[in-house]
Amino acid sequence: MKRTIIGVLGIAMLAVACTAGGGSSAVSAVDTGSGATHSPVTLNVWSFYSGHEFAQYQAVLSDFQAKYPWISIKHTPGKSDTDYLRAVNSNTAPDLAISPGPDNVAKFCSSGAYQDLNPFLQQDGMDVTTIIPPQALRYTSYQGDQCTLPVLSDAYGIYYNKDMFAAAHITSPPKTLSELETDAKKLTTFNPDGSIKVAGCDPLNGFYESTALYNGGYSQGQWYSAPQKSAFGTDPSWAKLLTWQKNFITDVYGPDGYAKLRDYLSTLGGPNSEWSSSHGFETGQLAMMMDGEWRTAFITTDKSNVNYETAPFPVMDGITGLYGAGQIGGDVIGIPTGAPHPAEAWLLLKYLATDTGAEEKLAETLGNVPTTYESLKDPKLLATPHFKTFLDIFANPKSGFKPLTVIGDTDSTLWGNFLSDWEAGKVPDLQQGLNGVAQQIDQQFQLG
Amino acid sequence: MAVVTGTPRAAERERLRRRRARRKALTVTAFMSPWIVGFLWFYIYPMFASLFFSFTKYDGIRQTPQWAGLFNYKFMFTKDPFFWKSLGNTFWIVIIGVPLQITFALLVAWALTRPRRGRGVYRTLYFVPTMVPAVAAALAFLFLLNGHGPFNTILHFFHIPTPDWWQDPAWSKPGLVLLGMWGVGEAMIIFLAALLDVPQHLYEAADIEGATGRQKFRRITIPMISPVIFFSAVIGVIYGFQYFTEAYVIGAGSGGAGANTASSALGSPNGSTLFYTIWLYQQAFEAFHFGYASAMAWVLFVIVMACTVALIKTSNRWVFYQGGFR
Repeated sequence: MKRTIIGVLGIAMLAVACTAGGGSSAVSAVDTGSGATHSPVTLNVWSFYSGHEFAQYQAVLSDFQAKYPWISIKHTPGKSDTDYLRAVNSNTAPDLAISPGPDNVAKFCSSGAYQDLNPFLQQDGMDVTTIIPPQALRYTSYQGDQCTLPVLSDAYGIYYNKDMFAAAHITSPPKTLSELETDAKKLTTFNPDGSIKVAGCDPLNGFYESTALYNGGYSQGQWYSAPQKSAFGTDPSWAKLLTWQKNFITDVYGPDGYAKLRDYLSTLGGPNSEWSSSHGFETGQLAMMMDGEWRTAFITTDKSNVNYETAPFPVMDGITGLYGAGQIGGDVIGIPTGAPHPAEAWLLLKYLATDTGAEEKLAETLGNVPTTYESLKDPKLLATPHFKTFLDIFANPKSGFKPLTVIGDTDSTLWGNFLSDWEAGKVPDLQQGLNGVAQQIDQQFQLG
Repeated sequence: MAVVTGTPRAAERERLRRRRARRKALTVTAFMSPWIVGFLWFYIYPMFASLFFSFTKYDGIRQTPQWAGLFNYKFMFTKDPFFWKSLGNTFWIVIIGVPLQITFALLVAWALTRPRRGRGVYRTLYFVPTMVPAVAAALAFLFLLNGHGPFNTILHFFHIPTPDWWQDPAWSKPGLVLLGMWGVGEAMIIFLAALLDVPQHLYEAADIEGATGRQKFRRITIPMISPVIFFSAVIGVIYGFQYFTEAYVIGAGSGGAGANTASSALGSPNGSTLFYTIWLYQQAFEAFHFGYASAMAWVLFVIVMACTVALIKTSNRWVFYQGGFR
């Protein structure tokens, strides 16, 4: 009996070890010349899109089908990165996978879950650096492996209420975090019971999109000092940023500012109000905020009559030349390993990521920033009210996304946990706390 | 003579009996084979696979698992603060949440034995929440228990303090317990069946003896339904250790994650809803530490097993089986 059990265990473990690996596929080309004949091909495209956005994306895919009539596309909505990886593992990968963000790109590239696109680019004689800005290429590759390309991006700036600015005699948007604090103080009003009536600006990490402020892009905070070595404990800009935040809250909202801001968010309807017409900025209860370019479309859709303007988000005092840049990052698209039709998938990927018409159409309909040099000049987008700010932020060479690592978004998660403790006053010693979160992140790499 | 001829016959009979038994066993196995294959492939194989992975570093994608011995287990107990935090939160749910839910289900079931009219309607009403998907229920409670939501508006009307359920770490777990109590329909139905099954003559005898309502409940009702309480406790403890969906939705919804960055705090607010399975999920599917997540799964298995065995061991002190069978 003992032998049988050991035998079964051994076979099971051998099977596990054998099934954990995977194969690879070679690069092939499709002749797209007018005289070429082709067998019909159906591409399986998986994306995270759903609802009306899915339908809008579908329209661009239809344009591709019209251009390449022998290729039909089966577009499956509502897929996640986990679905893609599961499909790669079980050899049922789609031809093309569209992810909502770059968090897992390092893992896609380093594990070989997605194919390196460099051979495809070389085969077509394409120099992608002349088509796509380097700040977008950075968040779609890992250690030289360009396993994804960007298709649309977000860009973060400041939205401010012009009527409130005028009433407070503020003539221009803040350019530094000190100016942000000064303006926020002027713009904040309280109810008779001391609760916040109108918040000048809510800098808490969990408030709407304020989290982008704490990724280092506006204070030159470095995430890593060396590969797999967190810099939270050694880069002084993080302590400076968090000290600024604490002072901001106390200065603008009082010693119990944290509790007041939490209560304020509840009065708006909680965090989910961000995605509804009860959004604080749209209802006139918030004077300034960090947000992405999509808010311009939301304000229109929600029929808000807020009189607003957009600008780059203020940066830490004393850092010259950083104003105008901001956090960017958006959809990434790749060909999973084991994709049945990699050559045709490359055609579609190339179309979505580099074709000016496709990029412009996607950006116009979905309300995001396009990701090629040419499409950034789209006259329609440039003419869209308040939108040019975000095109400029994206085009700024100092804009970027946080560094990509093989632990996905775990560093962000641990950082977010620390921030929530810090804001709640649960971190008595800031430097010690920063050292602690750096250690936690470093340790995560040991598990890989 | 009989001895001489009897031996080959007996041997022949024995041979035929064995043949029949073997054929029967083969037939039974053939009929059971779909289940056996499924059990081995979808249950036993993944179990041993995860046991093997727990001793490796494995990203769950295309990397070959690398043997790491007890590294994952050592890391868990000595270096991972979130392991202990999530375990503490999970024990809170098991020790406080589960008994409260069982008690509430029992009280609702008992109350539903009272009305003479409209019993069916009341029973249906209390059972309906069970049919609501967990995600939808959690989203609804995210709204209902918002700091300025409907529930707090009612509390405020009666001058009762209004906690900030999903923003205050002291109230987030009680909020989750409330959500759990709302969905006790299944346990309530089982308790109701058990309560209605208590022999009436026991109550009649107690009435003759002059027992009060409380005495009858304590001395008759509770012992008679104790097997069902025991069952609910075991199921509740197992479910409590695997608590995930509601906490995941509430944690994500109350954390205010940005649209494009992942700087959302796990188990918002302040890690108070970071339960064991949420940290396990994070490690497996977001950090790609499948080896470590497998080790966490096996530690959870051992804890659940130990708690279940402990419950079973103590059951002979407080569970009463009417027929004397166990």
